[in-house]
Amino acid sequence: MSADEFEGLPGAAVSLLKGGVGKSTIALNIADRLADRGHETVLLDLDKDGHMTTQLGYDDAYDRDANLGDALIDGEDPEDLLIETDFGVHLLPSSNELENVETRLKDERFADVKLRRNVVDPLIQNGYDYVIIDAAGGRGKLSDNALIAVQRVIIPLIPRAGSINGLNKMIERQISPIRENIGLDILAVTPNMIRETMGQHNEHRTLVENLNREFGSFVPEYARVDPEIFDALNDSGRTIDSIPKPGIRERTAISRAFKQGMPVSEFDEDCDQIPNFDHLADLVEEHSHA
Amino acid sequence: MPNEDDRFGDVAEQLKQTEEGVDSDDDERTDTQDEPQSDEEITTEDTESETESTPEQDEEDEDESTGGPAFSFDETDMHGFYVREETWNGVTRMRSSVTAACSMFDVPEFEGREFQDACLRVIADHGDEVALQILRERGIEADEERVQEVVEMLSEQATND
Repeated sequence: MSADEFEGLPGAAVSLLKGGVGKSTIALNIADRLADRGHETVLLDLDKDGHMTTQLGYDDAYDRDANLGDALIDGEDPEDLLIETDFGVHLLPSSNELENVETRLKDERFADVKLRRNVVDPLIQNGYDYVIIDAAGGRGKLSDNALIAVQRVIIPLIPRAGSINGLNKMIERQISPIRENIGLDILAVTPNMIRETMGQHNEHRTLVENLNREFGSFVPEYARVDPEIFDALNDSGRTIDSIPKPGIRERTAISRAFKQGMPVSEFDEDCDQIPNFDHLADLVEEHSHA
Repeated sequence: MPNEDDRFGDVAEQLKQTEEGVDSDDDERTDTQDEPQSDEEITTEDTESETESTPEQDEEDEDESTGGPAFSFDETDMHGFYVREETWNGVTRMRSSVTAACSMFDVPEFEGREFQDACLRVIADHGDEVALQILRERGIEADEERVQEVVEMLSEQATND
């Protein structure tokens, strides 16, 4: 069975098996950049806690009867579930029923491809250009479904002990087996919430340095630092012209915007991190139509 | 990278088997449309005949919600069909609506053999329409009632023999 035989539907999943790494913020801002270019973009919230759905102000949708299970398992039209946000992205909200939906999904035939066949594909067939999935934290059928639907993943990591370890586990347990069977592109492993420069030894530098040394080809341009630079920084006899500031930087504009239920471009159009989200959106565009 | 378990071992198969109604560049059948092979069967699930005969797949047939297919793969034989592409596309479109209708009665998925067997059973009871279709294609305006009479009479005889 050739893994090249299948091509993911247009879009990407933002995923890591851990919570609290900024998946929702990144998914929201990538969807916003795609919509800003005139693409009809669906933001699909697969997080059972509905962090993004409620943060965007759609608590009612999180608690309503109609939910993803209607389309995913019962085959109803996923378009009926969409909410039009004020910033041009179509939100397919999470639901307090997602836990039950995941349990029901386990007993279904074709349980791994339901999201692709019953949700993402009908949306693309109906004229939506991209589906960006805020994937469920933790291992489970929904998380697997997200990767299998689009076959493209963006993985955010934050400066915290165990981040690289978590990445290795995800690659070993979920990404590699899916890649071997049907193909799966890692579009980016992006350092997120980076605050420090690379001049000091701390978790921020450790994360960026390890990523660049071990996963160089997956590191997006804005986070790329030649390992040579780290060697020079370690050598007290050498001087560096400018100490790099890689990664998606921690900015109050990004977190405040999210708290107020909007992408950062709506809150502060001059925020210096918007080009980084644009770069991730570029990767989604390029790889969806490679 | 070691594969921890074989959780995703059949994902490719799931994608193939659910490919119905999805426009796909890698639909193997499009390659054979111009020059149909003698063993071309009326199915878009070319892989199914291979996979269904495995014991593992037969176990999967036991769909708890509906009791699974009404007959096993072993009870079926393969028969060839030569059809034009537009005809085939019509069958594919019809299959999508059949899937939707069956879903309303808690049968969200069915096997290729169930679909094919049902199609032919329905056709077997409508010989008059088949005859009229052949005549229409040849540009012959036939008397529908007469065709119906002849087909019904001969079908009855065949059943009684």
